[in-house]
Amino acid sequence: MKDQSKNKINNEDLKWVRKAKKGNQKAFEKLVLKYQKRVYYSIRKMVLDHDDANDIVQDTFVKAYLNLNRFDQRFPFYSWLFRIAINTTINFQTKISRRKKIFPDSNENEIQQCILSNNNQLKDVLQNELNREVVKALEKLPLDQRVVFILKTSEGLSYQEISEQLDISIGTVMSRLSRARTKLRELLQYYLESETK
Amino acid sequence: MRCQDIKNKLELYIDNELTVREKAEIEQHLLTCSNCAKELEVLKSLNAFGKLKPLSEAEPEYWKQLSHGIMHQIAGRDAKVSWIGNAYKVLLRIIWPEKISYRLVGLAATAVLIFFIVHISFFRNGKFEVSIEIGAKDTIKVFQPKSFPPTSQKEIELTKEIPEVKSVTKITKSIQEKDVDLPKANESELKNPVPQPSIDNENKIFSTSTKRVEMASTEDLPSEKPTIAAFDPVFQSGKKEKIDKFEMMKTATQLKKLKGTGFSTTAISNRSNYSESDTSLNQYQLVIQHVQSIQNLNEKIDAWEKYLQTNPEIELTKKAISELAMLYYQLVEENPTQKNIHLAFSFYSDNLQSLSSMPDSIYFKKQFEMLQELFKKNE
Repeated sequence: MKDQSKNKINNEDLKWVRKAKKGNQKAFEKLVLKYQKRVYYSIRKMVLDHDDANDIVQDTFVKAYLNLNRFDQRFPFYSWLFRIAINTTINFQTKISRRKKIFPDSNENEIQQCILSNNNQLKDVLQNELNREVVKALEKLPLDQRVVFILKTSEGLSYQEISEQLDISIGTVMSRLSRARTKLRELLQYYLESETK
Repeated sequence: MRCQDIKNKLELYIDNELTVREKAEIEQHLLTCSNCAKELEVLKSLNAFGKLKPLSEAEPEYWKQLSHGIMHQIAGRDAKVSWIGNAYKVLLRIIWPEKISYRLVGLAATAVLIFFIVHISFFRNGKFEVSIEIGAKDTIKVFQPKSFPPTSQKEIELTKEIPEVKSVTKITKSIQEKDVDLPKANESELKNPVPQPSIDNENKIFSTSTKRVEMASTEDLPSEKPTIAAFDPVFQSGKKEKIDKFEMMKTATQLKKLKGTGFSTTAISNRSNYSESDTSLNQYQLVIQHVQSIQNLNEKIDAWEKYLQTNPEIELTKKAISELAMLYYQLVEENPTQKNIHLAFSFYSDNLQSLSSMPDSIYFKKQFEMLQELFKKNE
């Protein structure tokens, strides 16, 4: 059943891709409307900044439109789009780090806007403090480690899929992930202890 | 299975990267070992930290704006492409008209035009001939009356001169053919002749202007123009792409700066996603990023080595060893030259004992095996 619904989605995407290739912008708009939220939230988790995520999403869709001829129709459209998004994110790295040097505290508002999407409805002050600390800790990770960590934990990709998306070996995926966890563990030790007690 | 072995595998377990049998073994152990179960809980909490979401869903207005912005950019690009396409069509129609009989005329006209351009710019052995001709035309313009019939006395005098000054060659001819009575020179004039522009002087004038033009073409501009073709093999087919030329030049200049500081085409071609046929801007930016990361790694390793050389008595801590091992390994991944493989392999071999006692030992072991394989292949 799951496969059937997946195929249905792919067929629908393919129909729009074919039309868009012929210059039908309305068809491409359907794809934009369908996937913009998903791409935005995935990227936002990696770059932790609304403006950066906004720029990256725009760039991603424009690049996708200009390169539609290169899209291999045997694979799902979203995987291809997501790969473009990740490449664009990594290329943004220099720009982001440059700006962070100039405005080191520009994420303070950003931090306050994030919460955990846990099953528990965490609305109390303590939880907000934890959220703030988590975002701060994630910010301290190098972008390459953060991207792997988010792809694994939030996007649920396998090591193989991550290695393909980022064009790195599985060994590197494992070590980046392990380093990210070790670092997060160091930074959030206090909260982890109270969580697991 | 020992607790340490289980702990080493817990990350793989939580990431769902183990076989069914291995999973069952771990689950069995977790039932009896509270320490490992606690470790698993910590890992689960860490995973939950990765599932961040913005506090509130963005306003529906934002999504409208976002899609609108994207479509606006796309429409702009499309319009640009179609403008270029239309111009190309018009040009093609001029050079290659639909009617066969006109094609010959079109071709002939193009050939003449090309000959004329090539003739002026290359074969006359003087880039400045063009400017001289333009100068000559300008001089003739001076003699033309502003209105017809000429009104002012000055203009009438000037127009009178026009038939005489048809062309320089004609005047010279007329001087040669007819015996023109030239006014005799006064004695004082003979004593102090007015300096005439001799050939030498003329050459001087021309040579200074030549110099000026040459200076403009060599010194005012960058010594080597960052042309796309200069960045072989990555950029050779780049010209064919419909991509932003300015961006392309910027990227090309960046790449050029990096060339010679760790740039290696083999390193780039070793990357599985690199293909020479893919000439998109994104690809070039990836290449640049790749080269920059090699540079960074080299710099970090150099700093480490320098430090160790100046402080030979210092014993490396475990953390330092793992840092350095990672750097060496990444360097091999980014740029697998024989030298880098050798360096990394010997570092791993020298510090194998410390590496295997670290919490990350499972990864280091895997990396060591890969390095060993590479080392053997390169031997």
